[in-house]
Amino acid sequence: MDINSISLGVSGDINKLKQFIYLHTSTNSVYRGAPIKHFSLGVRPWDRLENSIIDFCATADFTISVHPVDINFSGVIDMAELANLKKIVDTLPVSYIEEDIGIWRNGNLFLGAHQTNPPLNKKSLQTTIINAKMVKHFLELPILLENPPVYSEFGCIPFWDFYLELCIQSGCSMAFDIGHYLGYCKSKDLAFAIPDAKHEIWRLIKTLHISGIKSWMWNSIPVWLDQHSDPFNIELMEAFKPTISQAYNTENILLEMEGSSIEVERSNIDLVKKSLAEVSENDNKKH
Amino acid sequence: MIIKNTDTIDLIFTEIYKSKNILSSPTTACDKHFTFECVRRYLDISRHLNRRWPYTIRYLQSIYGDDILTNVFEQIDTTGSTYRNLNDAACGIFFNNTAKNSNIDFELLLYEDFRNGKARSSAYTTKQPLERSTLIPYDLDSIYTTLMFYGRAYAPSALYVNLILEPGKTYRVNE
Repeated sequence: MDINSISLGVSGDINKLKQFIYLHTSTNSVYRGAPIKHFSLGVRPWDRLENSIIDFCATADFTISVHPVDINFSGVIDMAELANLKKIVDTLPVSYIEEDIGIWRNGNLFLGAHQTNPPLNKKSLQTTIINAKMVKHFLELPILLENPPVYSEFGCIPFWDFYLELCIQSGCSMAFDIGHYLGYCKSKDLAFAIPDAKHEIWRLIKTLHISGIKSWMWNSIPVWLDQHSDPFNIELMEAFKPTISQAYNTENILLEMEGSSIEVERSNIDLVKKSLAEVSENDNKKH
Repeated sequence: MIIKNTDTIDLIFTEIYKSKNILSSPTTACDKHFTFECVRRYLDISRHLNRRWPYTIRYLQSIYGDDILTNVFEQIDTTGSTYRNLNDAACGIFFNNTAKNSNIDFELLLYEDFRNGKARSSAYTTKQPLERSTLIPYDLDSIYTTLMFYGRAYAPSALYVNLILEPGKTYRVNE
């Protein structure tokens, strides 16, 4: 893959998008000099976009994806809310929808940090496939299914077999979140390991997500927390480098940094750029 | 832990909010990870409650024990589904549970909201209200000052248990 051609993305809600639009064109912003050409917009079914934002996005020089955080891909989907989401999505030039599988809602309740990952078994695989196909058809957009944060995992299907089957059967692609996968590995007491270059999943991974994590030992087991406001740590960056080398079909690398300070954003962007340069140099040496 | 690899996500979700899981002493790595999942969520609920009512929670916990928190945790997957977000769910369930106890308990919650600028359905004053008011049988301002005094020092439960709630001159003005 051509590392130099890969774009970086940032994510956030409508207010963050407004800030991004301003900073994206500003000469002294944190994004200056970084190839940030993508924005992943977090929208809720009841959100409304101002006309000025819609107009700007129509001709923007960055691509846009939508991350709703309300679709229960592995549970019951509220069709009325999905219809409301479609109304918002249809106002923007959205390249794709990306959403963690599992459940985000329990009735009216938005689960947020209590978002729950599905057990990797046949039942949840089938439910997620059916829902992903339906949502793809309903929203009329490509769907990228994301591996959710995992603190405890059940089921017997190996991680990569589950996601490959899910993507193939549903006709969707994968948003691979490196931090969430690190968490999965910790929950299974496994070392971080990704499939080799020949594995078909790499063709289906269209975006890589990276965000801050906190890791420590608790009652003699390795545990972690998903902390988007935290700076990217060494463990995460060491997992990022081999992953980006394999992910030849990824369109962007999404830096999820909601809640972080400008200094942390700047440091994270520099770290990712430095890692990309390192990977590129190593690839050149190999060839 | 009773979860099987073939269980559904709904069953796992329900099991997570059972307080026996946070009180157990798991031995296998798998069980420990599940306990961490439950503890992580319990602490999140506790955090929401302590941020909203930092001083009243310490008093109530000293009087009634940890059950007042675990009761909220156990209702998140059921009663919680009617609320919009976790903060509303945690605080709403806690308030309704507390309202079933003595009057002073939920008056203290309302009063702490009032002191923090988050008045719900009632407002309080230390001045004699003119009309449509009810004299309530405790001096909330003094009690709350005591709770702040104790809370900031992380006072032991025994000190809270021995508190005498005196009648006084705080008024609730019905809106």
